[in-house]
Amino acid sequence: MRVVRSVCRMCHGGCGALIYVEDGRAVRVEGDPQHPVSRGYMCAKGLASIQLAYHPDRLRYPLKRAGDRGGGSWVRVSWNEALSDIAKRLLEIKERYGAEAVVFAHGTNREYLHMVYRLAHAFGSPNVTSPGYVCYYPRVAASILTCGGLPIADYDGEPKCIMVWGCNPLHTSPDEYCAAQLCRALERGPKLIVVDPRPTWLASRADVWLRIRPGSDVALALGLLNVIIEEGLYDRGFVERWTVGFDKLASHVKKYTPEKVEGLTWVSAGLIREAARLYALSKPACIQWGVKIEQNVNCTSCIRALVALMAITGNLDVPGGNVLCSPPPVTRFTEFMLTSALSEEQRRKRLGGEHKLSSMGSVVPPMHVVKAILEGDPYPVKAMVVFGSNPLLTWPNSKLVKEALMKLDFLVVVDLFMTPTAELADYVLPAATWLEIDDVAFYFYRAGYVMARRKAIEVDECWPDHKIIIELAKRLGLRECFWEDVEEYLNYVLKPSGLTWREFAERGWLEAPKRYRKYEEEGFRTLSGKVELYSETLERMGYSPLPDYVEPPETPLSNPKLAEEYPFILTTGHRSPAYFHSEYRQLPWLRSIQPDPIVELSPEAAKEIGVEDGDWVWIETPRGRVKQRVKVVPGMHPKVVSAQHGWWFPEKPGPEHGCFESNINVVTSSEPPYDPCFGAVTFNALLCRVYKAEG
Amino acid sequence: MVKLTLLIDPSKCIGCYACEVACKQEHGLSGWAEPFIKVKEVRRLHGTYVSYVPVVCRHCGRPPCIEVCPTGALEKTKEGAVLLDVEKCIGCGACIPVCPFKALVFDPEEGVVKKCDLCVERVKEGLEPSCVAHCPSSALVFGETSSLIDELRSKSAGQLAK
Repeated sequence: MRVVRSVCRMCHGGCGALIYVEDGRAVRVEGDPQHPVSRGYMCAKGLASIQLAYHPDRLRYPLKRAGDRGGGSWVRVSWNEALSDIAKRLLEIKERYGAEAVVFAHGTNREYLHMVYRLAHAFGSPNVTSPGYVCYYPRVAASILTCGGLPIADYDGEPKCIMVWGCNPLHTSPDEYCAAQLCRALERGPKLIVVDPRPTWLASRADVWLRIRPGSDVALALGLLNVIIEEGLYDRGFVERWTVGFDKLASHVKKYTPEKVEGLTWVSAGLIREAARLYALSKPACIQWGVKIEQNVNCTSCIRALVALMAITGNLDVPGGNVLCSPPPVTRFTEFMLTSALSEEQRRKRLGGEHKLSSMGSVVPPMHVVKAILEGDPYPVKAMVVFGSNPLLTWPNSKLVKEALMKLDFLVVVDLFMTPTAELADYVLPAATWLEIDDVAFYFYRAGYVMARRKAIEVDECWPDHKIIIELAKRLGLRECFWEDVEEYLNYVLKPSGLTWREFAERGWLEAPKRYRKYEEEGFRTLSGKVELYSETLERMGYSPLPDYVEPPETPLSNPKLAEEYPFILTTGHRSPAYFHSEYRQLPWLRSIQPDPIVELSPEAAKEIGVEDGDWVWIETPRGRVKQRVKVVPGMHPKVVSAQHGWWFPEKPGPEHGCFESNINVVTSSEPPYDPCFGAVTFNALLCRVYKAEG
Repeated sequence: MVKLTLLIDPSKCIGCYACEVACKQEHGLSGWAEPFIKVKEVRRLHGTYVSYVPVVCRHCGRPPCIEVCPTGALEKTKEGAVLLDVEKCIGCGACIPVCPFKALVFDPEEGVVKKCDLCVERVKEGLEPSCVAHCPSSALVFGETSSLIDELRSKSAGQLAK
């Protein structure tokens, strides 16, 4: 028995893993107690890795479409044949319509994603679409703009108060966190504030639970700022020395009194005051934020309001607060992405360029791609190359997405399984799982670490995505921008560290030294060197320089007429410990934990519509309806329902695999208004009706 | 003889279900087979909206499963574990309804009953049972019965003293 020390990637992937290998076959995966962050932790998904790697339905060799698009007929082809033909077709489309007519796509924090950008940029296309417009990238970019880096909750620094906002980190390890860190921090008995419409395990045990109306997060944040400033609970020394625009922020939030905010958030003024005092007076205090703060029109403002909270309470870059970590010594992403290869002319063609902060990070919000395919606006998009993403499930307004994918001249999908999106492709290429890959894992990059993921097994003709990208690049005539093989690429990534891949793999990880209060010596890495509570940069770009609240377009307050027909507030995407977005429904070890899609609603709502726990219901919005199974949850607001995302049924027949039955994005909207800076759509505050379905 | 115990503290269980998958992997439970440890979600318990309770064989002091087993397939070891000998099990299922924890699982493929064995093979290697090793919140703890009891006592005393 051989034990390979590696790094899991069943979610974004950062936890240390031990892979036990017998006769070339992985037989067990367990947590690695020596890993510096996860320290032996391994979640349900990680422990099911073997079932993923050896799943009978995995794609095992390249497939080429044989009949009509989406008709389910395929022929097996060789890698060389597939990649050569793909390159030929992409070059033809480039020749005829321009490189921008080819859009590249990747899924949630795939660790090869910077190579996808490199491929697109070297090819000449400015268009890489990803979940980056509603997930994580806004937090990174808006934080850099405000305080010069992404502020990470410093669990090792022993926070006395933890404010969890818009996530359930015990059930999923988000961003650069591992669930075990929060578990360890809770053992020390800190004060706990939870901002969540759902009565989760954490919310149930919080000192203060703020049961927020979905989508009103920024109003709540402005209310907390109001209390902290009005009651003089902020850190005067820090504010005077290290912030810009405090007075403007102070007069701006004056109108967000707890009483006003109560009307917007449905959280009582008393609780708002209590939470503000608890957070401001417990030193140190950290905010653990999550993706839900980004998924509506207030994305930028909410992030900036929360950074303002961290800053004015003196919790930025102090032990136990929110820290700004230095990155480990690896090649910088900007170089990696080869943005410089793109001409100014091509850059100006980037779809969704009006969302300037997304565009600056080369992120294209997907609804602009859908529009370009369907309407040729501002120009036609003819081909897509999709790596590890399932747009039919994860992009808003799924039926429109299907229409768009069907209209493409050419679609390539790289994935582990024949997903509903892959079913519509011209070529489907089999990717490797994390057990089959040598890689530098970036998950903890912004927390100061990179980790070595080491290949333990091989499965048929499955290739790691970075190998696929390198081999495709060669056939596109882009060899000079790439590498001969994966090892050469890994050496390039590691060059600044002075280590080769093999040395790094032996060592396991690289860590940047952790230093607190770096601003005292270097200032904050913003234009002013201070925390920019008021942002002249945003003002110059034509955006609001102060965080402000805009009512999302589809709520009882903004559209009371629609609310008469669709009386419930729908928030989508609450996590299950068994799944990662649209992945893993085909793994029995995980599916048996939660076999069906779940919509949570209150006992009052259940009574009103006449349903019980376990009943199937239709969730309907003006876009359409889908079926999920009721979980009656005491403690939910009677007007709020919370549905899961990513549901398709691999066991159902193709090409749809039931992808329009329970997939919540059938009912979400891809229409404006969007968050102006990032183009975020609203996934967390829609209006719906709910009624009983048969079976 | 050192007695060993798997101690459960439901107040700490966060409902991550890692123990269930750890158990399936460790015991090679294929496909849809039930794990020997199951996490039950309880809504509205002691003033909380949601709690989770891991349920697994408690390796009882006077195990009713042993009393009803007609073939002597179940036995209690000196270390305290209730173990099932698959070779002796005839799959009659008499033990299943008498277990207060519903901790015995019938395997329809092999026609025998299966249950938690406290991961005896792992423990021999000096490892913790897999569910315990992968519990992130110390809801599951494994160790010598006497020292676990001492720990619990001092913890309760500490809480009373507060």
